[in-house]
Amino acid sequence: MRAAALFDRGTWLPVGVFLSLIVIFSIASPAFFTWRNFAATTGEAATLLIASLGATFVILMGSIDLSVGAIVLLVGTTTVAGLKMFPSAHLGLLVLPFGALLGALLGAFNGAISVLGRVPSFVVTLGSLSVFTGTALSILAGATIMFDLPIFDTLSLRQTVPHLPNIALWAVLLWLIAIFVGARTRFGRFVMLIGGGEQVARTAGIPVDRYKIYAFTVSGMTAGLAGIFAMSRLGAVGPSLGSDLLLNTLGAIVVGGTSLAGGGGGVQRTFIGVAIITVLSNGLNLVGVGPYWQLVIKGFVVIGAVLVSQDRMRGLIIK
Amino acid sequence: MPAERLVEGIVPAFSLAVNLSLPSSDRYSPNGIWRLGKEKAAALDAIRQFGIRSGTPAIPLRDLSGGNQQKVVLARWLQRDLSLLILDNPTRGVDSGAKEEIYRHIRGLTTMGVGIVLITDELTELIGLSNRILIMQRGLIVTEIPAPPHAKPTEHDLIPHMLPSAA
Repeated sequence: MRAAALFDRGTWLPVGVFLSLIVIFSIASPAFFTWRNFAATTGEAATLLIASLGATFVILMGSIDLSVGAIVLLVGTTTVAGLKMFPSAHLGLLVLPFGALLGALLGAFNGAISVLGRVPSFVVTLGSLSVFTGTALSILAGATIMFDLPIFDTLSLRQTVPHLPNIALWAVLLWLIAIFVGARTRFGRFVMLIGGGEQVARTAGIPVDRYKIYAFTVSGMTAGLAGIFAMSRLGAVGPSLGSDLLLNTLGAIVVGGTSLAGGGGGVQRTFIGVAIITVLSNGLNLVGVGPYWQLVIKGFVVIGAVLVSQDRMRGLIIK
Repeated sequence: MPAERLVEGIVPAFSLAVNLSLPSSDRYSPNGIWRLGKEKAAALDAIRQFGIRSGTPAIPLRDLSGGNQQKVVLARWLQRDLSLLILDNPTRGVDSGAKEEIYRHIRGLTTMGVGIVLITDELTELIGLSNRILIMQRGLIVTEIPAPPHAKPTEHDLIPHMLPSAA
């Protein structure tokens, strides 16, 4: 768990898979290996990465957050509805902290119920996923709300670095911050310890319950941020926002090499997991594979990743 | 120190340094940022002081022998300013060489004024280390037997008290 161990043997398999996918798709489709595709792909990947960062901490802790996609939807919806209701409010970049705060509140809700009610996180986030989605959909009333604020263009679509949309820069920045938090802060360490051995952690006096709530709050916060970014990138919020995030965030985390049992892996690996999932979707699109078959293939990839990592880590427990 | 090392005591997949610093987060992260350098230095120190064979700060704890693992568990509590240490079967699953070393450290603690509560099922260990022996049944203390260095009871003296008494 020191700096040297951040990138070890377990990272090379996903990297290898990623590179192979690039090669395969470059051969299979002429449109793949182009700058334009790169810009589009990194934009997609960025939202996924941001949403997956907080969720990685929850998984590291040995829990699970199924409500990430729903939080993205609810935060996006609320923000857009708010902007429509108060058009004169030049909130501009304030939407970011707003989204983070709202997401954090939703996450704290998850954490509190899980810890205080002694309910497994799987059940809590399954329930809250429903609650958040339902709330968001009733605000939307089935419509897709569109809006236009130039600030959003700058936030996510403008390419400060050629061919790289700003949203990707934000994502990388947040990823680096998350790596630091994971490796070098008390929060990161405790989350790992709770995941690696909750009993041991409790015996040693670590405030397990408190940190569990923190982790869910962080997960909600990054989901909220992802919601804002997604909203600004698309210029609209519709009922399907974030719907694929449930599978994609968990898939990215697992494919990247973080164990579902907790205590192994980390946010640095989520990066490559996100890259693989995004390249897979993008490449399959270009090659002409239909969306339903894409789901099938993606599902197999995730299952395969769990099987492979289970060889290396014994004792898979979902809490 | 817990009795079931593998379940309650250590995180086998994590490194020696991490297992060592487990309860002392206030020392290693006074303001939220974890001092990895300090943790590594403490690990090296403990390896030297406790004679943990083939130990390095980064070695996963499951790669060490039971005795060496137990030394790490002991060392982690010794890092703190203790007034009382409760040991639950500290030498279970430990080879005799390491046992002697652990006894030496426990005795060292008593000379520093740390109170020790030793819970063990090994009678020789119990008699040898303790000043006072308390025998309990059903959560109540039934007998207290003094065991000063010059007048140690034998196992035979203890066993009658350990048998379930009538009513």
